[in-house]
Amino acid sequence: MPDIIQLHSLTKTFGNDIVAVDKIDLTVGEGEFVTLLGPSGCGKTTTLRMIAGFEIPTRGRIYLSGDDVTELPPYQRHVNTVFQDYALFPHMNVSENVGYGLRVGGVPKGEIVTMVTDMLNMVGLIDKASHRPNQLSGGEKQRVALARALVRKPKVLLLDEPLSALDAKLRGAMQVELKHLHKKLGITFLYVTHDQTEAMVMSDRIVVMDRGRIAQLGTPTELYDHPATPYVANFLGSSNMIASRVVEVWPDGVRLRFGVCEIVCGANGQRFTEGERVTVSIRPEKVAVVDDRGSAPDGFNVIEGVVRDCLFHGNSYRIEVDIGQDKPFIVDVQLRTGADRAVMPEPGSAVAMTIDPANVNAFAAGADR
Amino acid sequence: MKLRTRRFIGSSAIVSPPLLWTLVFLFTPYLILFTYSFYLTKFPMFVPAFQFGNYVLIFTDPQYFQVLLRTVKIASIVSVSALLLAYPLTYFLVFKVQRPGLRAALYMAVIVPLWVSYLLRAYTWKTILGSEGVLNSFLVWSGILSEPTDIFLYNQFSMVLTLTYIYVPFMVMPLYTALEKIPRSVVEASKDLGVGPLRTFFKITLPLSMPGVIAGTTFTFCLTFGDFVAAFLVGGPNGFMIANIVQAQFGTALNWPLGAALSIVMLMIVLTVISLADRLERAGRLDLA
Repeated sequence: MPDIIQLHSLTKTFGNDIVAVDKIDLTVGEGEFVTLLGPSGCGKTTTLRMIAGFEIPTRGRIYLSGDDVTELPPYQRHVNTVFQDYALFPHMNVSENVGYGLRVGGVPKGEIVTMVTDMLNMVGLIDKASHRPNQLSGGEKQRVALARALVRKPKVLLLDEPLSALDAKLRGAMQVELKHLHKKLGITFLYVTHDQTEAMVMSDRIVVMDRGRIAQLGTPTELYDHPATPYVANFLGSSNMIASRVVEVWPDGVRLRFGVCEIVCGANGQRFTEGERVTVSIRPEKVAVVDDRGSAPDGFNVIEGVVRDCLFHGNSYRIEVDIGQDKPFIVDVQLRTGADRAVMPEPGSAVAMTIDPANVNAFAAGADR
Repeated sequence: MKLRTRRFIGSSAIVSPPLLWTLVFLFTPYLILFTYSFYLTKFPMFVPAFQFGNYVLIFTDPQYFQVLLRTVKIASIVSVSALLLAYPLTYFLVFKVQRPGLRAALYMAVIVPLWVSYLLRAYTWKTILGSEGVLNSFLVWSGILSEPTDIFLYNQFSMVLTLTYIYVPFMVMPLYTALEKIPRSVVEASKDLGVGPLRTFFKITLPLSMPGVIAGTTFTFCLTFGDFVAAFLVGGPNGFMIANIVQAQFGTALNWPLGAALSIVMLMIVLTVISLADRLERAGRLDLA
């Protein structure tokens, strides 16, 4: 898989002291779907805008298919952007919008008509070809923006939070549609979002960004199952984060203690020392609630506590268990077929929870730098 | 009291004073003016009548319609010059000045002259352009001219210069609003689609700023068209505007009916320009949001 985007210690500062992007190195392979994920202000949009050519990097280089494009203006780069606010031309109708980049690019008229028609067919807007942007719904505008960017057959499609203005249901449908489109066209997609679900659903790889830097880079399952830092663990999905202390270390694992509880987990390549302060992260859905600790599988961790509350979420229950920490321990229980709602524990009752050591992650204190 | 009645009284109370004001001080004078435009003049008396002699005179006597044409010409040149000066300036302010504080300061610098007396601003040009003025002194001092010249003042050139200077802010204001409304992302999208800056300007920025161009040109044209002070100060015999003639009819010439007819003709021209502009603006009205 040849590299299509290469970022070499890319840096962007605004004014004298605001570092938006801080020495980012990233390589994206041809045909990949890569997502830059992070909260607002983490530098993901600035990174995208530098690749598009709207912002000039303070330091570092950008390569597209091996060519240095750092100094090239946006209209000379083989990338196209889908903007967050769609940025449709209000004085042109749908087909004029889609054909705009072709008309000015000197493509013969007949060819433009065919290409625009094909593109509008693909996004399902052929019957709205003569509508003005202000006559379209949000989802339709989104499709026009997509068609307009794709009609130029870019090497890379840059998408800047393209679904953030849509309602939840439409957003879900568009996520699937974008994913299929990506597969069908084989174009590299670089996607920016703050929505972790969106990132996990669509991406081949996710770049989690934090204050201008890459916190972690990997496939959605890698990031979800083995977050490198508490920040990543918290940003993708939710986690029970518990401050603990290392009580025993062996080559590939550690025993940790918090309050009266002790649990065992793998070291995941980290080196711990006895007595060290660490943060433990456990996903709420990777915990099983059992009646008594005797029924736990061999080698599993067991934590005991008292049920504080039990919240019905439709397809699941969220159980808050008091384990003697400041915050309650959260357990999500999916209601599978045939599961009886009545077996949910009453508030005040004592429960035991079992956790596979493979599903416990321990981070050295200060892992978020 | 019923709610409907109370609401009626409430809204009437709000709308009555301004309505009364316009009725008494705007519509009534216009009505009187309109009536007078059909009167006969038997010097020094005006005889009530209904005849079109005054209007016929305006369009047959070159003394009147030539000044009318000249006024249209000067107003057009002023509008175009103001547009050509204001557009690049405003474009620079909106798109190129990054710091909002600096942008606001420069914008204010354009608007501030409006707070200075009109008379003073027009008079300034007299001191600049006159034979004893700043420009002549400089040219003589630098040796370009051996003695002062009077070609700068009291002609149509000095009229256009002064009026452009005075009315440029009225061009800048609507242009600024129109350009500021254009989302940056739309301009970026054009460049993203492979279109260079020059074509982006003519295909995207200029069409989207047309409401400002139309409004600014209309303001400038109408204000210049009715101006008589600039002509009075820097115009000279060839810089006479139609409003100067109207003034004369109500003053020294003592021919109110003719002055009234001229005013009505001016009013019609201005109303035509405004409604044309309005129609143009409506045709191109866009939802930028």
